[in-house]
Amino acid sequence: MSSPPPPPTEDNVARVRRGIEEVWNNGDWSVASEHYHPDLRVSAPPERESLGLKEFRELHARLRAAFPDLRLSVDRQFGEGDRVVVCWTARGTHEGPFLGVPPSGRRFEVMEAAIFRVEGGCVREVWLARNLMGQMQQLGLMPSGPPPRALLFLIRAAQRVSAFVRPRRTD
Amino acid sequence: MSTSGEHDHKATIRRGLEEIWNRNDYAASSRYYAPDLVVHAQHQAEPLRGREAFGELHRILHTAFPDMNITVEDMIRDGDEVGVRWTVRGTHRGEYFGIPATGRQVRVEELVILRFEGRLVKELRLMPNLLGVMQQLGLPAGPPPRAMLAIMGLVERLGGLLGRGSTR
Repeated sequence: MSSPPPPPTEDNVARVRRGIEEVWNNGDWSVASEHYHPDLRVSAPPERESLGLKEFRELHARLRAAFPDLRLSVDRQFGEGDRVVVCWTARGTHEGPFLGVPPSGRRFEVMEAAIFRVEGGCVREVWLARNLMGQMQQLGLMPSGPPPRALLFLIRAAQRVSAFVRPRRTD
Repeated sequence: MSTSGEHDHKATIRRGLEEIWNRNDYAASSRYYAPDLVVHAQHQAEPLRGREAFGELHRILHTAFPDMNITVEDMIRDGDEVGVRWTVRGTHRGEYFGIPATGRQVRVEELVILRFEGRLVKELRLMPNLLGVMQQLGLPAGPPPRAMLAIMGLVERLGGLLGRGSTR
């Protein structure tokens, strides 16, 4: 007597978890096709850009270059139907350029989460809730309290200048 | 794994959002939030503890965005845990994160993970896309230039010396 197969949701939760471990934490993109659908769509903050598999991989590469020890530790995961929710703690050390800022050796630790939609045993959609603000604050790239007004004015002025000189990148 | 618990948490979430948040009535929260509710917000190092402490955040948000409105986009439930993706819309009419009212419309999608105990929410994990809000209010998305970082560091140290320590 073999036991009945687990409900699809448990398969989906396990699939998503393995993708995080093998691809994101171990950096092994040779197994990416087992986890990610070729037409993967990733919705990423802050502007909810839509990334494909190639851009998702490039984002991972840029993050690993900035934080070689980047690691996601899963705190919560559960699913219903074809969707899976995962909440994790991301940790890393700033050892390479990040958003154009040279490495500082500072560490960050932030809570993040995502909703994954699984189709045919592969992740087809990811809706990411990254914690860019927490990360930038902990790395000293953004003030942690409410900024004083004079500073806001200066930042806005600087923003206009830098947007003119160089198009902005947001990860 | 169970999606057929005794309470209809999804219906509770929709009602709670409408009463507490969309009608701006925090008094209704006692029907939805446990008194010892714990709120983990992405931008805060320490969790908020207690329904009263969360009420302060409710007040700050409704002062900054008096017409704020939340619409549910998706809900995923397993037993006592529910993930909710929603859209928040509001007009910036009061100070927020030290930014004076701009009159701008803000629209962000957020993810919240709730854990129920019985009929009440015991734990909230908020992922609010604050950087998206800041951008829509006119603040820079990327890091400011290096000279600005140096000034900010200096101001923060001065602020620390003067004991001006807000963590909002």
